[in-house]
Amino acid sequence: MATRRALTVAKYLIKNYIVNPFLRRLRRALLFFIALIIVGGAIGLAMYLATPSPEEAEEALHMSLRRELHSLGINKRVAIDFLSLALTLALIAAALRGRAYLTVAEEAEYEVLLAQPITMAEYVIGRSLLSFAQTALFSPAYAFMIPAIYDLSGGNLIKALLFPAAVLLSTAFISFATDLVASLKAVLRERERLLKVATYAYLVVGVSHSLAIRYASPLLTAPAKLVAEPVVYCATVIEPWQLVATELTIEALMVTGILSALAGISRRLQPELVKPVSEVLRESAGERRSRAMYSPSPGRALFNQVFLFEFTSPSHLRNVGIGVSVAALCGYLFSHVLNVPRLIPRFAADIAMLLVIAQLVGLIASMILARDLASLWIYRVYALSLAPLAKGLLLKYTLYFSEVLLAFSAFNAVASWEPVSLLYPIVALPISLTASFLLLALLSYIASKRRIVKQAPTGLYFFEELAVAIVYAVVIPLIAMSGVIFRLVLGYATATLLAAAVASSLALACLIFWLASRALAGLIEGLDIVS
Amino acid sequence: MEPGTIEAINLHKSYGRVRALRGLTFSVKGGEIYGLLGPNGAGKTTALKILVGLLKPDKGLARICGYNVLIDRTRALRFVGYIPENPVCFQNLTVREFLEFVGSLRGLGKEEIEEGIERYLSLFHLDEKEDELIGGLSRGMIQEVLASAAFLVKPRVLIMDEPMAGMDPEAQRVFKEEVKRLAAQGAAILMSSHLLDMVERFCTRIGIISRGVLVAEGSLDEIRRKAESGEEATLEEVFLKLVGGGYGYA
Repeated sequence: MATRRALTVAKYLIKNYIVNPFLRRLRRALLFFIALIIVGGAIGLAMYLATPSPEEAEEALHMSLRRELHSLGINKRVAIDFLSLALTLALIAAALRGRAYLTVAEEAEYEVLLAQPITMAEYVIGRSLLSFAQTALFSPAYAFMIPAIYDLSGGNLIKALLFPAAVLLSTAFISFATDLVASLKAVLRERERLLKVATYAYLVVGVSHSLAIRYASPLLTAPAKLVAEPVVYCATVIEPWQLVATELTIEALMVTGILSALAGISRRLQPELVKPVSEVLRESAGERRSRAMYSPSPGRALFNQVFLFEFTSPSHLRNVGIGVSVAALCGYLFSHVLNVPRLIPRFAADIAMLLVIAQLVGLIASMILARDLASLWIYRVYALSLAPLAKGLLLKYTLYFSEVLLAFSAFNAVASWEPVSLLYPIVALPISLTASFLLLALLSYIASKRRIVKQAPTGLYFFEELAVAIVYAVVIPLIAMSGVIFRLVLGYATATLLAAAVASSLALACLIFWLASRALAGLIEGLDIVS
Repeated sequence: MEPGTIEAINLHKSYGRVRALRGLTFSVKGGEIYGLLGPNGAGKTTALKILVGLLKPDKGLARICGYNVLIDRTRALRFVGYIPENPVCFQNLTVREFLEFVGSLRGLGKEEIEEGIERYLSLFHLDEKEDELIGGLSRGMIQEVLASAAFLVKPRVLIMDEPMAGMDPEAQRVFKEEVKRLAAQGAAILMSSHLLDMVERFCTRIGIISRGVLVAEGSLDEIRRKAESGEEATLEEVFLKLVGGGYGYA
């Protein structure tokens, strides 16, 4: 493999995906942000270092923090084990999810880049460096945590400064290891099932062992322990900085080893195993069972096409069933079988829910652009009215949000033995509707400003990302707040209060649906969206 | 420049149950402009993608300048300029950045790349667009950028899938002149197209494929004879007769 060519691929992919769409447009804002982080971090650190506080006071501060964490059941061992567990599960998920090919956002990566004289190893390494750069883009924010780490480590400046490096290396580890797993699956192709079976077997053994010892099994923590340890040790008092530095060096060597293995495996890949998202979407649409499209009512035909057929498809219902069941099972295991501090499952579920919702917002944005708006011309030319389309789209995406909330509600309901937790998706219905409406309206508006809505999706670009960011900014705090309020309501747990909450949410949802579907129909009818 | 060659030997390719190619064989010598024709779904794009290593044939051999594409893909592709069917390009690279990228991957020198960029941007009147993002260009302009990239690398083999779709008449003329110039220097040119009039006037040899096999090949006169058409028959008439199509109009 020519390292230079791999770096050239990485350089231009980074330009295409990161520099030009974001940094180029936001140059001043970004420079200001970076300067703010550096200056803020430096001032914060200087203040910590310069404060002439007595040693006892310093000690009292980090001791009180530590006591607080211990009271929640979180100590160094628990932190390392659960960080390792999360990283290992991410790798296991990479092995189990998806199909045996590499998915890319832009068709040009396949059609143009792979028609150049580069080896698959050069391409895959270049691509992996891009993925890492995308993740590492937020690394300046770690500087904000230096003062807190300095404090937690009992005033160890070297360890506090090593913390960003530890986080960055753990990001590199997970990013490259995930790519390695994806490439391995693609190389195995037909035999990919073997890898899945082996991974499932490993997971079952790991989970069974965890159940037996009532704690996270070493089988599920060991693979990423060396990555988790330096991150946690930066914030501990006893471990010396030399240990952290040694572990980071070993981790760096591991990351280099993973990259070498990735290059080795990629040599066995064929370009045809790289598939643009557009092709994957086309194939998944093709896999759907064909259904009778005729309906005597024109509006009904449109509604069926955009909502009912998709929502009632066997694969969709099966996936929702599996998701909710797995979430409920996890809730049971974490809260009633494993000896895990009480706070962790709930905290992890809350964080995971926000992350999944954030992912879902991005996914829905891609679907709106790729499927709904790209084929809008058909509806505009042939449909008598776009009102059924607007209703169908709103309902479809609202249900997607509700299904995710239902899975997490199932987790919480089983974890806390509170079946009423299952009412949360209904209580949050107004938020789900608002999120769907915002996404549809904003992306329709942006699409009307484009020359053409791509028939094939090429991922999200600057303006679509902006729309998604607006939806995040509105929806994520709303979901978080609604979760807290719902929990408060559950705390009182009177049937009347619950019934009132559900009834008022349903009434509000109906009102929002009525208003939003009309507004959306007017918008897609009035906007000049060229697809 | 040494003459280029393209060889497709007994190519087979299936997508699940659909057999896209069923023993396709043809070759293009240096200096030839070979027009590959066929109805939709005949296997043209599949054949071209196999020749540039984007698809792997189930059976058969694809050779570029003597190198087996399947075994020695990178070495074979050093000689190839390729224009894909869809005008897809990196949306967030500028025109200049994209051309520099392609030039760098070919190992061209900085001056050589600069010279090529200037030449082709000027030929296609893209000078003013060089610092614009490709995502903001029209379909025809993206096609011109892709053509510029293909010419920039001084290919011994040029493989193009519907290369002129979307280009304006002036760009088409520039494009054809450049292709002729390359062919005169010994490059082997292979293009698929549905523009039968253009193929009739522009290509030196024609291959017609239907359902994954070559049904006729040669100069227009040779194909006329094969199809038992009259001497005055146009390529369109010959084509429709051979592929048995015409959607009821033949």
